Amino acid sequence: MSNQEGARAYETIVENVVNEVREDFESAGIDEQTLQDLKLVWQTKLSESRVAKFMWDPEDEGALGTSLNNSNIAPSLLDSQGLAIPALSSGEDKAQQSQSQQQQAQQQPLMTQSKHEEQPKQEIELSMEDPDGEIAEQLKLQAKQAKKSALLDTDEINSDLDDSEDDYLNSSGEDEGQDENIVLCLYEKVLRVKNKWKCNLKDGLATINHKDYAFQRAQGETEW
Amino acid sequence: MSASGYYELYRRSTVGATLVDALDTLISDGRIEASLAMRVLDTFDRVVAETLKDKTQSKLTFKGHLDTYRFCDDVWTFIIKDCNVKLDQTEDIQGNTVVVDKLRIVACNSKKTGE
Repeated sequence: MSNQEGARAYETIVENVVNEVREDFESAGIDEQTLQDLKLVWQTKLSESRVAKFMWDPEDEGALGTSLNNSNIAPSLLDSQGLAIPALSSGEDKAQQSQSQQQQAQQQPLMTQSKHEEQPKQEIELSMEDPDGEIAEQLKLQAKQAKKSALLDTDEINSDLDDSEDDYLNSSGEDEGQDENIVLCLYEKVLRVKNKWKCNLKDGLATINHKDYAFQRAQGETEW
Repeated sequence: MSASGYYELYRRSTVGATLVDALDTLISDGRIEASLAMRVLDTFDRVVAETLKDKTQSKLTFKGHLDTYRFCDDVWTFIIKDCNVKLDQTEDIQGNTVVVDKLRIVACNSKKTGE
């Protein structure tokens, strides 16, 4: 099952969202670089999710299949930004902290140096396969804790809203759950005759067997 | 439904969750305010709805055993077991079938969306 259209849809979404929020960023006094960083982090995370093949994916896709490998995604993106690339290192223990901190490490060089010194270990770039999602869970926890400490460091953040976003994700529970096959869409008609259910759906995004698809229409026939 | 009149449903998708993550990072680093992030997500809700409506052509069909159905707050949720999923793409004629043990469908009412 090819999911090219899903990938194209995601690319369009990223492009259009970035272009359409530019004005919001400007009126909030946020510079273009921050917007570009948002786009970069977003794209990198999408590449890491491996739900589809994107045009911004790094060339050496073949290397990504191994169970644990030094990821070239972030460094290559960093390269294009002309930023310093930290030395790569490997090892499972480091991998655990790295994924959550990857994006931070990416942005670290752009920020003021004061914070940099407080978090000296963040310049590690790694990614790994995590089929059962266990490590991803740990990373999420660690990321959350890292976030909390970041929130303590800086007063200018509206921490309530930040947390509520986390809750939104956690409460929905299954999102991005590696093992879940989920379809998010709109329904037009749901019909039932005895135990037979038919439904007409449209405008959907589906994650099936770790791949994402987009569809215009969907039709289902099921028996209860 | 968000204030802008679009469903927030798609924020649960991969493209939405990764955006939320990216925004969280910027907020944690003190580079943007949460209010701006919320505006980005509102924009996201609209862009996803428009993109799916205007830019997609694939058709998906599925068959299976309906394990659970739920209709609450105008949202249908189906959990389908042993589900056959088939995607027909116009440009890509090889519409293959995938079988999954369990498929969850969350669907909002199409009548109330945007515009």
